[in-house]
Amino acid sequence: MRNILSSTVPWISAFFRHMSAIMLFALMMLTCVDVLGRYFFNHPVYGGLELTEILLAGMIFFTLPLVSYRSEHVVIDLFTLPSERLRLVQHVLANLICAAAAAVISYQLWLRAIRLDRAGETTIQIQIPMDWVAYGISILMALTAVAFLVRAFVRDLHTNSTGEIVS
Amino acid sequence: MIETLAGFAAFLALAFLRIPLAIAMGIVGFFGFAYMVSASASLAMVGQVTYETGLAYTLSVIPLFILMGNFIVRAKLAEEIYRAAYAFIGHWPGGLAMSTVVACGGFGSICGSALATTATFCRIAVPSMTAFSYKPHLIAGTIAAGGTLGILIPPSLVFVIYGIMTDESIGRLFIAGIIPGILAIMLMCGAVLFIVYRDPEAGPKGTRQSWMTRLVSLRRIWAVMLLFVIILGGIYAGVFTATEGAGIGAGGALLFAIFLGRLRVRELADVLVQSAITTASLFMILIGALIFANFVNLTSMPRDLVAFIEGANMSPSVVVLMICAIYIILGMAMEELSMIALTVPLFYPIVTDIGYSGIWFGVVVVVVCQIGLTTPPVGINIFLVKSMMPDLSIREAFRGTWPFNFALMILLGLLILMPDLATILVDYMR
Repeated sequence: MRNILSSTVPWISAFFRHMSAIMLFALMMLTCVDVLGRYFFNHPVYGGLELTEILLAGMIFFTLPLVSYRSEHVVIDLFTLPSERLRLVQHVLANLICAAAAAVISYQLWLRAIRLDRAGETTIQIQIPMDWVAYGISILMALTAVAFLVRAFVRDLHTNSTGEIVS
Repeated sequence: MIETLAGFAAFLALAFLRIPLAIAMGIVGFFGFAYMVSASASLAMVGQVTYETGLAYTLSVIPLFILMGNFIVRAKLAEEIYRAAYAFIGHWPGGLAMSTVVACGGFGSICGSALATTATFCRIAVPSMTAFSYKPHLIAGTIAAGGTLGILIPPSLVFVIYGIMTDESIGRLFIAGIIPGILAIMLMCGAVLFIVYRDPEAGPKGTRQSWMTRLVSLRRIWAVMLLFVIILGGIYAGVFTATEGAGIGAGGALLFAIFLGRLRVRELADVLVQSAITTASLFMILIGALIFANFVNLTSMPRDLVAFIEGANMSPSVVVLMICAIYIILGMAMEELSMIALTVPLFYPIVTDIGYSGIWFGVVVVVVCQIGLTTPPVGINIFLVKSMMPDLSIREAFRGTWPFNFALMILLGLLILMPDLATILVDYMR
């Protein structure tokens, strides 16, 4: 298990890092081009608003598995439990609860995607099917749940900022 | 009433279990909503909030401002601001510390995060103040408190979150931060003077610079001024929205980072990923807080509080003082953005009900957050500074921040006595 993880995690993590970086960069460029186009050429980007929304969602939900796996969520860090065993229980329990929450959200997003699919809803200007977006973020939320699960049971596997495993 | 109090208690219990704050808020909000309405409605609500928050156009302002701040850090503009501030006031008693405060304010005018501002000035100001043999408590206090100016002086992430939770205009909140921001700089400089008056050894004078040097140093900060004028000027004149300003700001900051700070492609990817991570964890907090707010709004708590205050016949300023006291206590234990997201839905109706402007309350909330960032036991800024100064004891660091927190308390008092300080510029906006 540990071997599989240590050989695959860097790749998976690199994939998510690249996706979120690309989406954020695209989001920034899109906003700039849209604003400049509107004020100087009187011509905003066609479908700029809906592309912004989709890029925003894409960036956030592609980053969530990373944030969860790297335990970069904001926590209250006031007390440290006295014994190592208690801390382990706390760590496993907290991550399991988070995994469950992420799984519930993922399932709800999936149901929403099915509804959007049936209704055949698309964005107004460029007609992107909204169910694709919803299915996409549902899957990414499920991967976030997986990231929490891995985190719960693999405690000493730390990755540094470039995604390499350091311990 | 009881349901909400139970909700807050459950939230605290989960948070102390080290469940991320975002998820703790979400879980409590979910079960609370399920208890008040039904489980299926609550499930649907959770899905809807997540989906709509992720796809909200106006929220793209968050990643763009975070990105802008991170590019600004790479553009090495902070060094130039620091140099310029030093050229003008470095020869005063405690001059280097005052320069740090002023430069933090200047940096805050293009960076919306207290953490980025503090981290940047830890890198620049700690070595130079140490070289001038400043006392460690003054160094720590100056940087930890000065760094909080990042969220008061626009652009500011805290205003963005407040605006999202209350539907107040983010652009107007930014403009409202300008005068209190300048006052905060002056009051914090006053705190430095107070420290060196009591102990002249704490902050020796620097060397006086010629007017030539001063003017040259001013010329070097053109990039900062340009960005500030474009973004805030654009928002003030109504040329663009906060979101558009953030996009232009991020694009401009990227150009400066490439041409002035020599940002490489490899580093560009790092900056993007780091910004994305900050954004994603912030969005989780927003989603959690919105779920929690949906539950709180179902309970009678907001109305009960308003009725209680009306019945008790308290004067508006006493109510505001009580809310500030609650925030200062909460701010000691909680991370500031989550604190706002969690509590503003409860307090905002009260404050607007007793006749204050929501914009004004936003400024008050930011000032209390500034205090929260530098008070024990969870003063994030203190720990940032400590990570740069390993020899510094936490006690020493907190000793350094209290004069600055006193200065912020004075600012809070001024804001309560003269609400116009925050709202006057907003009234002249288009």
